[in-house]
Amino acid sequence: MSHLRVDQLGVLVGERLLIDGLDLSIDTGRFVGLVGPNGSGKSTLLKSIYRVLAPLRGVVSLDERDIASFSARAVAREIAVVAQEVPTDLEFTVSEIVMLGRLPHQRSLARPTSIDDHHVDDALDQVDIAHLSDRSWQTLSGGEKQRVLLARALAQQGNIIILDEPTNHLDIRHQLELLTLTKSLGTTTIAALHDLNLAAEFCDEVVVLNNGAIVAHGTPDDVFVDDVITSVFGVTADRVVHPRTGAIRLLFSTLAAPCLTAPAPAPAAPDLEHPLLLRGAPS
Amino acid sequence: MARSTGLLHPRLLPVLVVALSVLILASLVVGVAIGSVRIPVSTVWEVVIAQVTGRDTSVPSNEQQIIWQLRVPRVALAGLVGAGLSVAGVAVQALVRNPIADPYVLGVSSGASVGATMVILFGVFAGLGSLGISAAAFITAMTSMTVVYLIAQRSGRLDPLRLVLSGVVIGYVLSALTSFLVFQADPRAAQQVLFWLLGSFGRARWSILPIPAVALAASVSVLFVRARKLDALASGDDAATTLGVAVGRLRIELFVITAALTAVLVAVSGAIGFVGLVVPHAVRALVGGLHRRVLVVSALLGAFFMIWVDIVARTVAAPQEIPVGIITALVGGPVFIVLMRHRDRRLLR
Repeated sequence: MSHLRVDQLGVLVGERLLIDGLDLSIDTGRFVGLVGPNGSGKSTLLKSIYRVLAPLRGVVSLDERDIASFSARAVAREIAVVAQEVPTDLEFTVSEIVMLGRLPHQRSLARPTSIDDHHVDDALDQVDIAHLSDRSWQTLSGGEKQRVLLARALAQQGNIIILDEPTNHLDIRHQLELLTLTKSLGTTTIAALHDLNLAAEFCDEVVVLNNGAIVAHGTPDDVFVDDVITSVFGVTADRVVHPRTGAIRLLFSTLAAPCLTAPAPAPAAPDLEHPLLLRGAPS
Repeated sequence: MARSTGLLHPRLLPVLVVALSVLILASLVVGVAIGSVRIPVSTVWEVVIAQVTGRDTSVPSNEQQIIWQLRVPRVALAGLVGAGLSVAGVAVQALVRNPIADPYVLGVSSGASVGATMVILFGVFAGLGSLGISAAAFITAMTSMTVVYLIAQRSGRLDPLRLVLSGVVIGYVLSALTSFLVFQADPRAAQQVLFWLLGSFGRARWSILPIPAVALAASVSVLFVRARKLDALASGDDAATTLGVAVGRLRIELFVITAALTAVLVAVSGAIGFVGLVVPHAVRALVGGLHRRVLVVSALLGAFFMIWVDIVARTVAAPQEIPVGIITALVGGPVFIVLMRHRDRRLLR
């Protein structure tokens, strides 16, 4: 149980107030996508939640308790993070790295307990990298590294998982697998995503950020509409429905394109060849 | 038990620790026996046992003097400094998260050399006798580290890159100051300064041993308790924060430990290079990157290595004594290159 709330958050990065007066509430067990163009404040918001950045004003709270009052360890027991930054030259094996996820639960001089071992083995199995457990970090591919970091976050057993653009280094199969896996855990998840179609497919809720403010927050169906996409991302999108999964798919084109041609006629009758294809998004 | 990234299986770690400890004890005895006057190992034992237990011995008193008042403290100091520099190397590499950092990257050796030079050339602190150099070196080393800290910190947080840059820049400035002082002085004094800078255990006496011993013991204990946090810090500041480590505070602790330990070691033995860089690397190649293992094995390997470096320094050009720093670099450089190439090959496989 962890209800996350952000109240009137203001975050100063360098000399710029990247986020100001932001409110957000995330219910337990939801899979929430954070989308927005580069520099919209996704990472800044997430970093203030996992306390790498200290907010200038406002409060981030877990179950009505201000996380600024938590110790670093206590926050780490609640929130597990898979960040963008991937270290390069670690002289650790995969299982040694995943064991670091147990750090917030361990005393400083204690050896790993059987509970720690159990969570590490579980995490390795869940991410399907048990066969890599003795491999050196430096010998892994980008995708394998990302999965190791996810396993470390799982071993942390937090009530909230934050994925800060976790799919950056992954091929399409591992992108889908990572999100499918994370969603199947049922843990509250906040994921910053660049790919709006991944967000549409996996998220219960989508939060659209632009210039450090929330522009829209709701189901993918409510949020991915013409107005929002055009004003925030500067592109137009045609909405279609995935013929098999039923999820929304967005087909992007540059903003200028539709102006060159006459407005498309409204579909008078369902297209018989493509019965699932709907022209234009509701606005 | 799972494997590590090192060459040695973790199951064999206790064997390594015991083997190194035995080798260090043996080297202590051999180190005392070898010198300008060669003394049989049995005599060394007899004197050491006589001194510790208060039993009578037939060994002539001048030989007893050489063994107990000069050689034993010297070999012990070599071991302490070797262990200390290696531990400081582990700490500083974790602090700035940079594998080519050594304890002197924070400007400590150039700071210490200013103080030592002033004593050697101008007789500052002359009243303190042979302790004068150590006292002055310690004071200027700590002063330069404080300046580096003040430059590198931003609202109480230490950024690794700023730390390295500040240390290097302050190091250049203070080296220039030392060079200027030496340039002004007569050549004989200049040679004395150079000899001090390159390191020697010739000034070892029982009276000064407790200082490096306490500094080493305190540093190792504090670092050992924080070993898991150092593991987390290796994966980056943000990652360590999300794993529950208060990174800002940990960095300051690491800085203070490295500064104080290195300043003490340089003050008693000069600025001996390369050990603090090479030993942690060699140890990681052997036992992997987990800091509990790296700390303990680095201390032991550093002690063992330095005792033998000192033996070589005393004997290779006897009766001339070669500065220790020359040998550490001559041996350490090739070892480092071999390790690096070996590691590359292992990773490519």
